[in-house]
Order: sequence, then C-alpha cells, then structure tokens
Amino acid sequence: MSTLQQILDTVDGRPTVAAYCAASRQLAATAAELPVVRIALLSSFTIEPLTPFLKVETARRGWQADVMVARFNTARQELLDPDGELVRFGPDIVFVAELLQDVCPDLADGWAMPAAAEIDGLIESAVASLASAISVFRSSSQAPVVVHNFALPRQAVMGVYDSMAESSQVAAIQRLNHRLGVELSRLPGVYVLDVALNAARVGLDGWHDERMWLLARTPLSTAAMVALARAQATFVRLLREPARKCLALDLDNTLWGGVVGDLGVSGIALGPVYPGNAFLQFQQFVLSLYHRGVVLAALSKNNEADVDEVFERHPAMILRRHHFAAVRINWQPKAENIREVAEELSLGTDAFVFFDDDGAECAWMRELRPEVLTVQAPQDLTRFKDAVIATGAFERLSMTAEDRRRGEMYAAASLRRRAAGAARSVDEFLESLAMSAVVRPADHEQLPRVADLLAKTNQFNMTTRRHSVADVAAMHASSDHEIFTLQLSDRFGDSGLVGVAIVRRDAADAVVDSLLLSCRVIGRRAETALLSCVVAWAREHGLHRVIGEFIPTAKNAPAVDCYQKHGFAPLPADGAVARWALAVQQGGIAWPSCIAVANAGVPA
Amino acid sequence: MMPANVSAVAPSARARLLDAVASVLAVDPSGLTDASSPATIPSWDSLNHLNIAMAIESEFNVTLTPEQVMEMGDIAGMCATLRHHGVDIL
Repeated sequence: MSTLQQILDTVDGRPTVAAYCAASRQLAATAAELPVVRIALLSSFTIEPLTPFLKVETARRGWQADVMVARFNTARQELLDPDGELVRFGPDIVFVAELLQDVCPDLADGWAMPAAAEIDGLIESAVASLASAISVFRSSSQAPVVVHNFALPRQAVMGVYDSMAESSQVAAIQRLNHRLGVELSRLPGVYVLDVALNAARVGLDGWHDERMWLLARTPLSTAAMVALARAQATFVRLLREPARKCLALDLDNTLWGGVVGDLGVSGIALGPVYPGNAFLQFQQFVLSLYHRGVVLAALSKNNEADVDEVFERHPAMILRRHHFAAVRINWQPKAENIREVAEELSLGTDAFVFFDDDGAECAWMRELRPEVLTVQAPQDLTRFKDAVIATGAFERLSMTAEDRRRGEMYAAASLRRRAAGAARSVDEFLESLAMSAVVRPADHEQLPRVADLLAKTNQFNMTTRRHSVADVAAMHASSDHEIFTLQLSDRFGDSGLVGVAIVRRDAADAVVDSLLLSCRVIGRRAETALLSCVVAWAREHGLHRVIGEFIPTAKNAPAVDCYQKHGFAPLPADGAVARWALAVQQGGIAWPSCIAVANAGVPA
Repeated sequence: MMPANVSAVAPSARARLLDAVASVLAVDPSGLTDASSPATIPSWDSLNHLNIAMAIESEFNVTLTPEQVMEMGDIAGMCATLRHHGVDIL
C-alpha cells in the first residue's frame, strides 16, 4: 500500500484528472486514520469533478474529506431550506461556489456599459442577496461558510477599451469582489475565498474550459481544479486547527550562504548579488512574517560568538537579534532545543514550523517531534519563501492588532527575561520594567479579544469558563455584569490587552465570574491591578462583598493562591468551586506600586 | 488484443490510454477492450466521460474538439481520435 506521501508525489508529478481520481481512491485505504471533515459544496455549476481534487488536497493538509455535492444549481435553495439536504448533512464547512453570470449577470456577459451609479446598485444588491441567504442558513447551522469570489473574464466585453472606460467591467468585478469580502466577513463564521487571485496565478486562459462549460456546465480546467482544491484545503486547515505561531529557523545556509564558523563573518554569502541576494530576499520575507505576528526563533549548531558577530556586525543583515524571541546556538539536538524554546515561550511544540536546509536535521525533527511542521529548504535558493508559503501554516482568517504585534511582543519578552537575569530581587526586576497599565470597562471593540483570551488562557485563569463571543456580548449588554480589561506596557514594548475580569452583581455581592491573565504577563502583579479596580467598582456600587471563585484544572496551578494573597477569606466550597470573600467596606486592594496608572478615572 | 503493459521501460500509448481510463472509472485496466464503453461499464457516466476526455488531453498533450469528446464513444473510438492527433497508438 502506498503511503500518503507517495500518493501526493504521484499527483504532483503528473497533476491530471486520472491521477487525482486514482489518488482519491487510494486515500480511502491510506488516510483512514486522518480526522474526518464534512465538506458541503454548493454551486451554480457542475462541481462534482472537483471532488477527487478536494479529497487529495485536504489529505495533504491532514484531513479526510467527506464531501457532499448539492444538486446542480441549488446553492441558494440549500442555504434557505432548514430541512434541506445541506442542513441534514451536518457539514463542518460549507463552500459556496457560484459563477458571476448566476450571481450578477449584468456584470458578466450581459455587460452593457451601465452608468457608474447603476453598477454600484448591481454590486450592492448581489452582495445583499448572498448575505441574506447565508443569514437564513445561520438560523439552522453554525457551520463556517466560505464564499468563492469571481474570476475576472478572459476578455472584457469592451475589449482593450475596458481599461480606459469609466464603466469598466473588470473594475466593476474587482469592486464586487472587494465588497463581497468586506460585507460577508462581517457575518459570524463567513469567509471569502479569493478565486480571482487563484485564477490570475494559474492564468485566465488556462482557468476556464469553454468546451466543458458548454458540454456539461463545468467550467474549470484541470489546473483550475488543482488550485481551487488547494485553496479550499487551506481553509479547511485554518478553520479546523489552531494557527502555527512560531517559525524556528536554522542559520547557516538558511539565513545566509555558507557556514559562518568556517568562512567568518565576511565570508558568508549575504549581499546585493546572487547568491547573497537570495538570502536577503528570504530574510525580508521572514521579517514580513514577524510584522504579521509570527514569533521567530533561531536554532543553530554553531559557536555563539560567531553568530552574535553576524547579527551585530554584518552590514547586510535584515534580521537582527531583537527580532528573535528565543535563540539556541549550541550543539544539542534541535528537537531538544525546540522543546526548550516552546517551554520558554509558553507555546506548544505543535505551534512551531521548523525550517532547515539540512536533510538529516529535518528527518530527525520529523521523527522526534512529528507535531512540529518541518519544512526542508529547497535546493533552489530562490524558492525558500515559496516553500514556507506553500505550507499555509501562517495564514490567518482574521488579523487583530494583537495578532500583528505578537512577534514583537514575544521578542520583547525575551529581552525582559534577560533583564530578569540581571535584577537582584523580584521587586527590583518589576521596578526596572517601568510598567504602566490601563484597566477599564471593556468597550465593544475589545470583546473579540476578551473572548479570545477566555478561550485560550489556561494557566492564570481562576475559573477557565470558556464564554463564547456571543456570551461575552450578552454580558457586556447586561446591567448586572461588568467586564474589565487590562492593557499592559513596559519599557520593552506594549503587551496589549492581556487581562480580563468579569464581575456579576448578585444581591449585595460582586461575584468574580472570570479572572485571567495572558501567560505573557504572569508574575507581574497585573492581577493586583485588576482586583484593585474590581473592589473599587464594588464599593462604588454599594456592594458588601467581592466573592472570588477558583476551579482547579490540570494547568491553572499558578493562580491557586491568588485570592488568599489578596486578603480574601475562604468560604465553604461549592462542589469543585473553591470560594473566597473580601468585605469591601473594610478597605480596598492597593494598586501595585510597580505599575504606573496610565488611565484617568481608576483609583490609584 | 495485446496485453496492457507491453514494455516495462516505457508503457505503450495504448497502456497509457487504458490506465487513464481505468483510473477515472475505478476499474482494472486489464479488463478494458476496444469495445469498452458506457454501455459495458456502469461507472462510465456522462460526467466520467468528460473526466476521461480531460485525462486523455493531459496524458497525450492534445486538445480535443467538443465533437471529438462526444463522438469517441468507446476505447476503439478514443484510439482513432488519438491517431488523428498523430499519436502512434494501436
């Protein structure tokens, strides 16, 4: 029996319909242990031929696809029918692949140079109609919906004149695609797959198959089906797995050419001419990942002094030491180093991508840490970037301000740890950080981040109650609840929104439903700042007690004595919930002296 | 009727055709004959007929007209169409 990799190698060697059909059947035996994902394909054309392509490309991403293809041209009916085939199938993901001529025929072959205002009307009504069908579907299913946008025409109806016309057909379709992305992604769990970009990459002449379209209403060429299935499989991964967070890089022959230990700083290939410029280009790409929130680590078998010299003195280096959240320059196995780095950064090793030019290092990592996504640098230096992009590992379906700054925040944390090594006492260390914080009632824009922290925080989390975005929004709207957020910054950088307290008014008590801190700021007395505000709030509202709760889990030991440390007295436990009380009128909790108050209106 | 795989080094054009058809239809290539057609193989439906056409195009690097796609109704017809495109096939 062929392994998954052998099956994939076969289709990659010859990506034909026959190869995908055969591969898709072989997978039934080979990929049986992969987790199943139920995928529904809704379409306005004959989309059945895509099925084997989707099964193979989904398996490449580690999933076994159970595919349902809705009957021909029933996309809208299926979305609108609460008892239809789609809802009964119980999909994990729904793809809506319609053609422009079915969604907005006036922008397709029916193009008759409408006036600009009329074009806007056509676009808005097409977007609104799709949005409303998906909203109806939402009342019967929570499954994510991925809507395909539209390929540009091979030839504009007006020909070469189109690019100069006020009423340009191509510009109108591009605007429709943009409006579709912006409007649909406002709906919960709705995303847009960029067919236009995929078609452009494959080439529009090779995307449409006019004959198959006229013979069987199936417009996609083989190359188009490969590209589309890959794009869909990327969404499957993004929707079903947490994103990878950290890129762990080898250095010699990865970030620069040659071995610095042999060649010296001036001997390595890094500069304006090939091959040095290929490494520069790759560094530029890695820096762009860092700016999108990817945490960087360096793992290299080298003498630390040589590497430091490259980072500090090589004039062409784009990446500098401060971009890396963790660095291991030693002769230990890299599988061991990556475990240490993961621990240091409070990340799982399954959040890592490992990139190395050395085949043996990659093989070891795959063997010892199969959960790490290992990518061997290709022979061709100019394709390093493509190799990382092809994994889709750092793709995101949304990008909050916190996400974008993650790389920076983890790197700042690494500098903080060095400072901690230099300080003589905890107090001295905390003082040296020059922290300042804002604690305030959450505003609407902060709610997604609050829900994100509730979902992900394990260690300093008193109750680990995983309230959903909808729950958080309901509490935010309720007069019985207050949601406090804490933003923390220090001399190394801004950590962003890293603390949450949710308080519920219960008769004369303020019950702390949730109290958590991101692992980035544990041990910084930020919890004291949050509790100080909670107690002040309770007093202002004339409440008598603040009740703290603690629900033990396998991971939240760091929070176990928090209430005791803040002067709370134990109450009888309520089942698994340990309860603590603080009488408000006897006095508050002092704001921690090591943190400056950055906002007005908070009692210091 | 010649065996599907005449040469172990480079498969003949006929073997490549039968492999492509068999892959799409999920049948054993050794069971295919000149007379194999939608009438003799249940999985050979209209959709798979188009899949076969696309598979043949990729395998032999040819472009078929819509008429050729519709008219090559069995394996013998496919061989004839390919010969028309200059493929040396028995």
